[in-house]
Formats: sequence, C-alpha cells, structure tokens
Amino acid sequence: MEQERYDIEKDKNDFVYWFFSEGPRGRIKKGVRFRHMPDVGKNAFNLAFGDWEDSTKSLDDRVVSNNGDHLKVLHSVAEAVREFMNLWPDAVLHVRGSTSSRTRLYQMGIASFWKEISQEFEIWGKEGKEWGPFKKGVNYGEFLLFKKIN
Amino acid sequence: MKTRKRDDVYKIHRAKPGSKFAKMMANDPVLNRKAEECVKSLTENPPPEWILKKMRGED
Repeated sequence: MEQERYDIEKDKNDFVYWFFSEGPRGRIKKGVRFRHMPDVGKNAFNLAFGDWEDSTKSLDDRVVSNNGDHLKVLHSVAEAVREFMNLWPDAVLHVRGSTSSRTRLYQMGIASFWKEISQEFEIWGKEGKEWGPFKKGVNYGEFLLFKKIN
Repeated sequence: MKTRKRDDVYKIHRAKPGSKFAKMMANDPVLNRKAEECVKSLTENPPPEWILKKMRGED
C-alpha cells in the first residue's frame, strides 16, 4: 500500500488515529476511531471516521469536506486500519459508512488496492441481508475485516 | 511490530469503568450510534457462525 497518504498520529490507547487533510478548503483534522464492541464479542470492533473536533474530542462522520483529496484521505484511513490490525491481530472490524455514498467510497478504496489487501486481510461484505466474501463490482452495505491466518 | 495478547483489549475496556478514557468513549454520540447500528445489523443479519466465533474469541 504505497499510495500517497497523510502522516498519521495515534493516541496512547491505540483506538484513535488522526491526520490532517490539506486542500482548497484548508487544513482539516480527521479522526479514525475504533470502538470495542464487547456485547458482540471480545474481538469485535467498529470503525468510525470523520472530521475530528478537538474541543469535544469527538467525530463528525456526516460532514462532507470536499477538500479535493478523497483518495489520499482514503489511503490514510486504510493505513490507520492496517496499523490498528497489526496491534490487535485478532480483531474483527465492522465497517459501515455514515451514508451510502461514504460506504461506496470505502468500497472503492477496498477495490482499488484489493491485490494488496487480500494478501493480508479477509474481507466480507453484506449485500442485502447476506454476507459473503468481498467481490469487486458488488454493492455492499457494510463490511467485516480480519487478518488472514497464515 | 508490537502486538498485544488477545485478552489485553478486554482488560483495557473493562478494567477501569468510569476512567477518563471510558467516559470519552461512552460520551461520543457518533461512536454510540455506530455501535448500536453494528449490534443491530449483526443481530438481524449475522455473518457465518465461524466469523461470529472469531468475534467472540472462540475460534
């Protein structure tokens, strides 16, 4: 995954990653947050991504920045995911965009470097009500990602 | 790269209820909404059992 991306910072607990998007709308702090889901399982996590608000230490996952760098942002999110999964190799990560367009963006990101991702990770997608292994060209509503057992 | 044992994640989130970190996680409306969506989705349309077992750490 050598695509252009932003430098990422991580909090001491491993569960929040930040980077700055830079473009015509300025320098926007982005956050990628991993939430443990003990009610689902001890290895279950959920991903949230959006603009980071320092004053409230929270995310806005509905805002559309239009900063002209969506691919670079997507690659930065992917790098945060990869770092997190290296720290927590047993994690099963649930990913669903806040809107259908953001979910499609995630799908494009997965498809665009599927060759690299598929060597390290297994991804399942939910199409309608059914889960199945990720295939390019299928529209999924959400995803589950976990490390392959080698 | 440093990796953690499977149970460590459980300790971090369970060990200190009411800690600053636990409050920060619990008070984020986006995380809470997404957590609810995740649980609802996985309950209504669960993935195969072997993936659920993986999530529960039973694999």
